Amino acid sequence: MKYFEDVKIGEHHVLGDYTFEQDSMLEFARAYDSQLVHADPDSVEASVHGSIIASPWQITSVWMRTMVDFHRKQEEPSATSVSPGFLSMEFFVPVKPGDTLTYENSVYEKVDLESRPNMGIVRMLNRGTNQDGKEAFRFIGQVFMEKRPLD
Amino acid sequence: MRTYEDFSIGDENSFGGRTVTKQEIITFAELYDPQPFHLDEEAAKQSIVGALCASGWHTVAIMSDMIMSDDLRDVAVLGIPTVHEVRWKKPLLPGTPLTIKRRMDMKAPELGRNDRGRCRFSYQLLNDEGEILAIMDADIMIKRREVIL
Repeated sequence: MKYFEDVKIGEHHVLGDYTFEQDSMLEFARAYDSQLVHADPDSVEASVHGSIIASPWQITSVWMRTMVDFHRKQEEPSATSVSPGFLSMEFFVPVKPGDTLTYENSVYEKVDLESRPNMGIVRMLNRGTNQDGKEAFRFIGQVFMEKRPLD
Repeated sequence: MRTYEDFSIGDENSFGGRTVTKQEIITFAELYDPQPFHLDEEAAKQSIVGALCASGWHTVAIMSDMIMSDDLRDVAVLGIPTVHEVRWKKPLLPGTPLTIKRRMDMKAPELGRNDRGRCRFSYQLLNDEGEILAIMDADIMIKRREVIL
């Protein structure tokens, strides 16, 4: 089991990649983000970009699924818990149908918690880069992680 | 259509009325966040969270959709370029009537683009007991009415 103490600053992982196809982009937008630029290829909003663009929440939700799948493939499980939230999320370039994002993260910071002596917070810089090498988005993810039990 | 010029620092609004069903929570989680406390009531009861609840990523999508379709529905929105912070404070349980309270905290024209500006809003997602389920602090890019030459 990997505990908080075992995490090293700078640890880097490529989590996986995902190709955003128009069908799945429309399906996400119609269920979760109804803005025309994401949901209607014939809209004026989409025409500005030449196509619909992915909802930022699809980009992040796909990140989450990619992260979960990555962790499940690891030989050693991690004593991670829930996330208190995230920081500093930026979207740089639109994601269009046919774009592939490669998701990766690196450990950025570890925080001890006065309020919870058996837990810490691990902060990771998460990035999604497209097939042209352009960074589409980034954010600082956070996760509670257990410290090694004393016994 | 309202534009960037129509927002003032300190502007507040409150809107809501949406709920999320158990099936919607599970459908999202199956695709994007397949952790037991988002998928199965029994597993959720045994977990640290204690009850089946929405994924945090589903929660922010719901908040964003409520903002765009209600608070900013007649506004020339260009997108959300920056989310400064999101904090997930309490589980979002199925059937909870949701309200968002927001305040406009800062605005600035976008450097290098004379047709748009950013408005920074702080949002609180509340349940029907007034408890804060999540907070979000984000910039919304909004078109300017007058192009500065």
